[in-house]
Amino acid sequence: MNVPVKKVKQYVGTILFRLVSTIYEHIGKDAPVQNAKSKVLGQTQYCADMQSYRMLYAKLIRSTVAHACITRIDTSAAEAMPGIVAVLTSRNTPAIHYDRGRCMSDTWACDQETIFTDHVRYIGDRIGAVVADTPEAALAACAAVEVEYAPFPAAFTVEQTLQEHPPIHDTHTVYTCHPLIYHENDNKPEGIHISTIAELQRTTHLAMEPHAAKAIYDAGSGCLTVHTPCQSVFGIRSTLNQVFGLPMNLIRVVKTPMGGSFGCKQETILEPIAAACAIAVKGAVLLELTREEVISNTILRHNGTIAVNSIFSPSGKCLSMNLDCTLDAGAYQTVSPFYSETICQKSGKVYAIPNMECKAKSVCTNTSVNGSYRSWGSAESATALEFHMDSAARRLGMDPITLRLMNIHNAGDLNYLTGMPLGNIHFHACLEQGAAAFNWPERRKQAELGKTGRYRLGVGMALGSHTSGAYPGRSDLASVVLKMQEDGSLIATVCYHDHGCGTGTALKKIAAETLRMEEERISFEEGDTNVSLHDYGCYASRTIYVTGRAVQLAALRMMDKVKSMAALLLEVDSNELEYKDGKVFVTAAPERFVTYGQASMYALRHMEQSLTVVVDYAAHANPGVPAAHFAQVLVDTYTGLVKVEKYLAIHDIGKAINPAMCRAQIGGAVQNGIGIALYEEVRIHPKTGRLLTTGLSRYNWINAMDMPKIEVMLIEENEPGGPFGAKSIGEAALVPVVPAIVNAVNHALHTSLCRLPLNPMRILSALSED
Amino acid sequence: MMKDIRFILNRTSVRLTCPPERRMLDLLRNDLHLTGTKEGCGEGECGACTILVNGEAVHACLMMAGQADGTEITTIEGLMKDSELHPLQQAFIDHIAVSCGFCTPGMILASKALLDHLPNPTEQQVREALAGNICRCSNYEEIIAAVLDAARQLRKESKCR
Amino acid sequence: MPVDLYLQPHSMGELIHDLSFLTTDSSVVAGCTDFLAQRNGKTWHADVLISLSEMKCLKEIRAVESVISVGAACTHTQISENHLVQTFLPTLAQAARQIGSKQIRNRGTIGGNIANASPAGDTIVCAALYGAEAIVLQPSGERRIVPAVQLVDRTSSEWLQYNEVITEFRFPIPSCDHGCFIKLGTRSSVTISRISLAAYWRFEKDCLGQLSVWLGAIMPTPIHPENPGRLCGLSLGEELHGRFLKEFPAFVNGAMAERPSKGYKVQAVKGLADDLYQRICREAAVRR
Repeated sequence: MNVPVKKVKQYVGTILFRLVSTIYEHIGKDAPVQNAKSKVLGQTQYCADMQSYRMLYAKLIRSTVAHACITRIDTSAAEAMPGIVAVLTSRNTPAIHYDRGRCMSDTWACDQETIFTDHVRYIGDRIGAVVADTPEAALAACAAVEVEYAPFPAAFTVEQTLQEHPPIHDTHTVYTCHPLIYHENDNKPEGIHISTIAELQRTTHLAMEPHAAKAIYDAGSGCLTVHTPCQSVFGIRSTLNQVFGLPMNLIRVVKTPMGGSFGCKQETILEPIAAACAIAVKGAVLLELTREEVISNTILRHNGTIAVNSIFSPSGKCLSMNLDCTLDAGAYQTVSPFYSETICQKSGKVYAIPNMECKAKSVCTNTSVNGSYRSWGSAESATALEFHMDSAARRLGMDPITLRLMNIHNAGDLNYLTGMPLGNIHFHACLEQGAAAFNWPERRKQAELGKTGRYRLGVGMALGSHTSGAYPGRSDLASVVLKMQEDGSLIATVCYHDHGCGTGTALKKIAAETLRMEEERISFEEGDTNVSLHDYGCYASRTIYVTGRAVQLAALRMMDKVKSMAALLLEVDSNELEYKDGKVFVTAAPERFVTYGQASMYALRHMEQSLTVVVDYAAHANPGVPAAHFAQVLVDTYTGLVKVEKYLAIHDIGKAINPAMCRAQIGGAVQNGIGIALYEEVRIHPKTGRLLTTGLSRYNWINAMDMPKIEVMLIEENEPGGPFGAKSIGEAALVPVVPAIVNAVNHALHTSLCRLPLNPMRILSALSED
Repeated sequence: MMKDIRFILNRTSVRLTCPPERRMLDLLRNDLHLTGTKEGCGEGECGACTILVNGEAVHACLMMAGQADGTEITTIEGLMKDSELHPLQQAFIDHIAVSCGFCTPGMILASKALLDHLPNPTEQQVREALAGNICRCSNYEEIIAAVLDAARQLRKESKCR
Repeated sequence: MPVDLYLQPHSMGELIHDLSFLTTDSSVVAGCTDFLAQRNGKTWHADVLISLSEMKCLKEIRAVESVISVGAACTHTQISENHLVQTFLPTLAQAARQIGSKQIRNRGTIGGNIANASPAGDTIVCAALYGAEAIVLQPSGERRIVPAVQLVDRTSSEWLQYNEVITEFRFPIPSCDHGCFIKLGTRSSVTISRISLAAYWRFEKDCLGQLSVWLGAIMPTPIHPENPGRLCGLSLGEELHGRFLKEFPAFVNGAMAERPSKGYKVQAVKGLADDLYQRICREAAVRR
């Protein structure tokens, strides 16, 4: 491996760490998600499954025009219909402006949304809701609400907004980010100029569980409880507190099992609506969206453009790069300002470019809202940069891997744009080991041979990286409570939010390994504002690196407590003790032991204390997570269909806590990315703003028939600061997929396409232009 | 209008009165509280609501309750026998073929229909049978491995009998 | 309530009786795969709804003299797995096998596929190829016989009336025993046809003798080259292959109305033409 000597020294500690790792009992062993058995039995209660006595159902009343002021709204006919309990509009709900992206009350955001609006900004915008005995009755009443509109001029594209300035918002219809600029020195680089533009399309996350929220208002106690598949119970609580003015102690937000998020459930969308309904009817209300509403009324992945201009030396060193990103925010800015900013920041994670300038803006249009998506900008940045790198390689007549090797960051480097250390990263290893395993040179050569006939082979690759936490953007605090029970089993309260990828199992493994006890005797409770300590949410792939580390530290402290009890019981000094299999024993006389249960009982009975540990841990690092993906595609030049034939994903993961779930996450991400590259697009009519993709029958994704087998390689070089050396995977896995496929298709066709998706129509029209 | 409907649900006979045009999915979930059958799209594209009707995989979102009259229906809740997991359920756990789990009930029932008809399927046949079931969490590999393994298990069991 | 009167007849007699209740606000359903999908998330109403799900007599596939009779309520699964269909109407068997997902094939029916008149309906292309006739039952109990393709032609006077129901399709057994169905969607399976192709052919010695081809999803009803003769009479080889690749795009270019998808379809039909040619070659090789 090609790492400078002084940097290797810095990581000698990790090598020692690896020697120890051979004796792990839980870490690195494949295990199913924590609730796999209830899931195969169909017993897991997702939010919409949580039926209760006298529960009511809410349905949304949505705008039928793209941009207008509501001049009259008549709900009387709807209210008179059978089974209708309440009709809510902006006239009888709080008019507080809030921001769905906010996850702590003191953070700045554009605050452009209200629960319901009388200034509708896209077709589908929320005007109100009907609460009824049955979902059918609610739906029927929605159609009976009479609304009159006074239309405003509308814009359906970024260009239209920028040119015609429709009155979408009083402020921040266009948000321009602070540019990120880094120059190593004042020299003006000279060399070969390369320009590319990546055009990104709207997509939907396609999480299998549609959005739902169930709110219960107890008029007696004044308590509002909201059950929701979310990524931040405290973030939602802070917004409910802001909107309804209830004190936080009377708002309880409980995370329910989640049928996938991929970013679509990370913002506060349904919770204030469901809460308003519950407060209005003083009871329990379930709001569950249809798939069409999920597409229209939650979050889509940003459409936009990322232009990259660079100067390369003839030998292949990138001397300077300018990146210019424009995102369509949709009707409300929500997270888009930060999203475009983070695309800039994340553009410094892979390549060490001595001169770099990144600017970005997000622009509102009268279309469905765009927002959070798995990897929060890393994948968008990678699509632009990796497509650009391949264009540069072609221009310079170089192999794409050789070119990348000349420009990547090494372990210990800083992200020049942010000044943040990138950690123990191994781009070289990803490229070199990946290229060898994929037979890169041979495959590339073979693909270049057959450039005639109907089918063309293409081989491409791409790099990517992501975060392992939120530092330094915010204080990256995780708080853990561990409670040893009287029988020695353990209940952990950690405000985590499992998306369905088995976070609970991973955290259990960390605790079990540290405490050297059975995983079955440990329970991990998910986010619940009345039970968990504060946590800002499951963002930035921080759960393992930050929360997992907090669990590890808490478990170590718990072990100290258990040992001190055992020392008293066994009448030895605690440094004469060792522990294993849920027992503490005397090193010199292993037959003398106490179980954790005995220690716990002893503490309760004789020491007048419970074996409880509370740990606050804040991460002060945020290592990168390099990955290289390699793809071989076969393009049918007659029909424009692309078949992904072979795929390799190699990830520098630090340490895989549960390798099976790491592989599964990578597999899912590759599926997701192939979809974005080749199939998926949510279409909105450019002249009317009407949603054309009104359901899954009008959306394409890659299914079990077309999905290729994926080879996964994990580089485990241990990240100092991560639990057992682990860093993130869930979002990182998506980052290189789209450009790897795009580069392979362009290699097959000798084209330079990056208007996504590369669907058959686009491919054939590009071929016919030749 | 209401209609008297009788059918066998998870080996138990059921008799009820309901609007015959009610979606089977709503009947199962909201009236009978069998929430293991999921709604992912409501238009027969995602497969999350797959149930077995007379042994065939069917979308519960595209079937009317009236049409259930006289049929035999299996939902995910009816797969376990004598408190033992069905080999498919066990294989999904063992092969780590479950992530978020929302597609799992439909995926398992679509697989069961396949294995009941074709005890020794090829990988391609499994892919074909599951092409109408979306799993967004994985690349289907673990699911396919689980189905093939369950098939082996079931063949072994049927030989023993 | 969405439905005022729900009827589920068990016999032809009951069905005829029930038809008399139908108004323009009524519907007839079989597998419901299109019907409920179209009403998903919407409030809907029908004064009378007839479900054909209990009509066993509409679920039969029989050979009658030189005709294969396929009941309108036969599911795609049933059709694709039926021995008679596989033997005499291989194109239809292949088309049925490629419709939707397994779940859809288990419920969706040939009658529904044609009665819903989707341009992308795959069985209609086969009906056109084989010159199938549809038997349409009227409330009087009388039956009219219509060329099946006319049922998807909104301009046709033979269009299905609100109080009629298709009971059966009659497919004349062609003299050609080679056939295939090819579809192009946006992925390889569970996809809506962007172009579909149904064909049968006969070999004469080493030459392609007779060839009949219909294309779906190009125009509202299936279309076919008037003169596929330019492709017939030639032996398999470079020249014939070249003609396939040239003739089909030219034909679609001439036949298709100006639409945003035209540019794509004119080009992409070349892929189906190539697939068809390769299929013909494969069968020729098997024959030898």
